[in-house]
Amino acid sequence: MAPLIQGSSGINAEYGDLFYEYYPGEHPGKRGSIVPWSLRLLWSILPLHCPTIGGLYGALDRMYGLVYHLDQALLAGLPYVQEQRVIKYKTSLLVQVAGALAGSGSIQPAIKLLKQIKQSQPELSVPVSNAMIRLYYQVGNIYKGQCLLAEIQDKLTEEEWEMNAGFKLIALGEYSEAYQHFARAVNLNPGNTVASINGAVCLLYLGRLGDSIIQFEGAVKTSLHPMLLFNLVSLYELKTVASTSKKYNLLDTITSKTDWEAFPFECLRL
Amino acid sequence: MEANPASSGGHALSLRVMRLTKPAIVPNWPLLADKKDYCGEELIGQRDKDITTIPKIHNFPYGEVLTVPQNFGSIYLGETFSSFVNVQNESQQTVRDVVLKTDLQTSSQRMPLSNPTGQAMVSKLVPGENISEVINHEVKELGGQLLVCTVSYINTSGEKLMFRKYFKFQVLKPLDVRTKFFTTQDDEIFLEAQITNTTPHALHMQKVVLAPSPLYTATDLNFLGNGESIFGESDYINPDDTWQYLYKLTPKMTQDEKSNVKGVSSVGKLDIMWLSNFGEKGRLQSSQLQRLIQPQGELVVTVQSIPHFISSNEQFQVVLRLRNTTDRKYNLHLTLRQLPDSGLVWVGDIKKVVGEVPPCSFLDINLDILPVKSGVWDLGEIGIENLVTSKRFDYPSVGQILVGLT
Repeated sequence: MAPLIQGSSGINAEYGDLFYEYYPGEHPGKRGSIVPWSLRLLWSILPLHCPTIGGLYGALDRMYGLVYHLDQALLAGLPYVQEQRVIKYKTSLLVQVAGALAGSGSIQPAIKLLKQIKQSQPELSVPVSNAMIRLYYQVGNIYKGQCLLAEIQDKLTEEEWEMNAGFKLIALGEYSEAYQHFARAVNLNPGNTVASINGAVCLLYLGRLGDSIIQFEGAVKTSLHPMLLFNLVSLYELKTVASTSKKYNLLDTITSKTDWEAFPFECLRL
Repeated sequence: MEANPASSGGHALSLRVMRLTKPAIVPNWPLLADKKDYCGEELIGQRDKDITTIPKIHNFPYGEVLTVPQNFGSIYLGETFSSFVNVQNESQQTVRDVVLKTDLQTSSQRMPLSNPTGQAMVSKLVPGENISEVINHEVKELGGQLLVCTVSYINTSGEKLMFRKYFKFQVLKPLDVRTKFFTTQDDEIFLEAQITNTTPHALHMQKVVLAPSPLYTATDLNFLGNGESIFGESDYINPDDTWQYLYKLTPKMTQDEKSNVKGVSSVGKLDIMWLSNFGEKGRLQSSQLQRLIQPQGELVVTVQSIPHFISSNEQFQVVLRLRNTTDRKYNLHLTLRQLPDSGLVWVGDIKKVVGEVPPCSFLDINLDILPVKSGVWDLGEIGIENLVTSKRFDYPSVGQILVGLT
C-alpha cells in the first residue's frame, strides 16, 4: 500500500519502513508515519540552531516541506486522515515559521504570516494578535502596535489588557506607568510571574535597583526559569562585586527544589 | 556592563555601569510534544509551566518575558545613550560625603552628564548600601567617546579618597544619506534623497521631512493622494536596504532674481526620525543641502502659453518669452525652422525681426501654428540672431504638444 505521504523530506521519514503499514503484524490496522509529529517539528527547526545544516533558509525549507505534505494529506481526503488534527499541525507549523522569520529579522513576512493564521484560525486571534503587537514594538512601529491593540481590546481579559498596556508604555519609554500596569496584572493574578518579571525590569529603568532585585527574588519563589535567574544574576553583578555568594544561594535553591540534572546552570554565570 | 570587576581596587566603594538599551524579548524555542509521544504528557506539562511560552501558540518563540540588557551593544548617532550607574559600599565601614560625577569626553569636548557641580549625593553610606542614577545623553558626535565616572568619598579615618573609571565606546553611523538634484526644462527642481540603513537591525522611519531654506518651498512627494505612504505596508528599512524619498522644490525668487543667481544655493535640511528596537528613538538632521545653479545663458527662451491639447487642423497660438539676462540691449531676428515629417506647420512669417529687448528684461512673441497630423509633436527649431552683435542662438526644442484627431 502506498504511504500516506509521498516524496522525500530529508528526515527519511517518508521511507516505507517508517510507516505503520510496513508492520501489519505489530500495528494491525494502523496507517501513517511512525515518526511523531513533534519530532518532525524539532527536526525542522534544528538548522536554526546549527548554521552548518542550513541556518534559517534550511529551517524554512524543511518547515515548508512539511506544510506541503500536510496540504497533500488534506487534499488526498483519505478516510483515516483526521482533518482537524492535520489543520492543527499545519497551524502550529506556520506559527513556527513565523517565529523563524521574526528571529532572522524578516519581521514583515512574519507579521503577514501571523495575519493569515489569525484569519484561518479565529480562535487564536488573541494570542496571535498579542504576538504581532510585540513584533511591531520590536521593530519600532508603535503606531501599528497600538492600532492592533485597539482592534482586539474588547476580546482581552483585564489581565491581558494590563500586560499589553505595559508593553506599549515600555515602547514609549514611560517606565513608571508601565510598572503600574504590570503591578495591576500581578494584583489581578498573583501567579503571573511574567508580569512580576517585567515590572522588575521597569524598576531597573527607573533607577530602583534594590526594588528590582527584591521583585525578581520574589518571582524566584514561584518559578526557577533560567531566563528569570539570568535577569536576577545580571542585577546582582550590577549591584556588587561580591555577587558570587548570592549566585551560590540561587544554586542551593535550584538543587533543592528542582529536578536539576538537566538544568542550564550557565544562567548563573558562576 | 563592566567586564572586569574582580574587586573594588582597594576602595571601600565599587562602581558598576550597565548600558540601558531597551529591554528585549529573547527567543526561546520550547521542546514540543504530543500526548501520543513517549513522555508526551510530562513534556506537555513542562511546556505549560514554561513562563516564556505563549498559551495556544507554544511554537512561537517570542513570548512576553523581558530581559535586562546583557551587553553594551552598539551606539548610533542620533540615539540616546542611557546608562545605569551604581556605587556600592562593599566594605564594613560607613563612608561619608559620597560624590558621583559622570562626564562624557568626545573628540571635541567634555560635557557633564550628571552632578556638574560635584555635590555630595549622600552624607553617609553604610555597609551594603548603594547610590545609583540613570544618565541620559543624546549622542551628537561620531567616533570614539569616553564615559568618565568619578567617585569620591571620605572614609572613617577622615581621608578624602577618589577613584575614576573610564568606559570607552564607539558611536557609529546609522544611516547613509545621498542626495541628487534634478532640474526639468520648465525649471522645476526635484530632490531625491537616498537613505540607507547601515545598522544591523530594522529601522521604522517615523518621519523624513525636508525643511527648506528661505529661498525655496518644498512639496513632499512621498505620499499618495489618499495620504498613504508610497512605501505602503513596508514601514521599516531592513539592514543595508535603501529607500528613496522625493521632494519638489519651488524657488521663491522671481525670474529676474533667478537669472542673477549663480554658484551654490542652500536648499534646506533633511530631518530624519526613526524608531528601532522596542521604540529606541533616533533623530538626525543633515547639513545644509547645497545645489549648484547652472548659469542660464544670455538669452533664455521659454514657452509662456501653449494649449494642453489641440485637434488636428485647428490653428493655435503659442506665446514664447525671450528673456535677456545680460546688461546689454538686444535687437533680435527670429527664424523658425520646421522639423522634417513634422505634424506642425508654422503659419505666417518664418523669418522676422522681433524687436529690441532691454537689459534684464523680456519680450513675448505670438506664433501661430497649424497642426496637420495627430500625435505628440515638437514645436520646431528656433534660431535667434542678435542683430547688434551678430551672435546666433539656436533652440532645437522649446516644447511639445499633443495633437488629437479632428
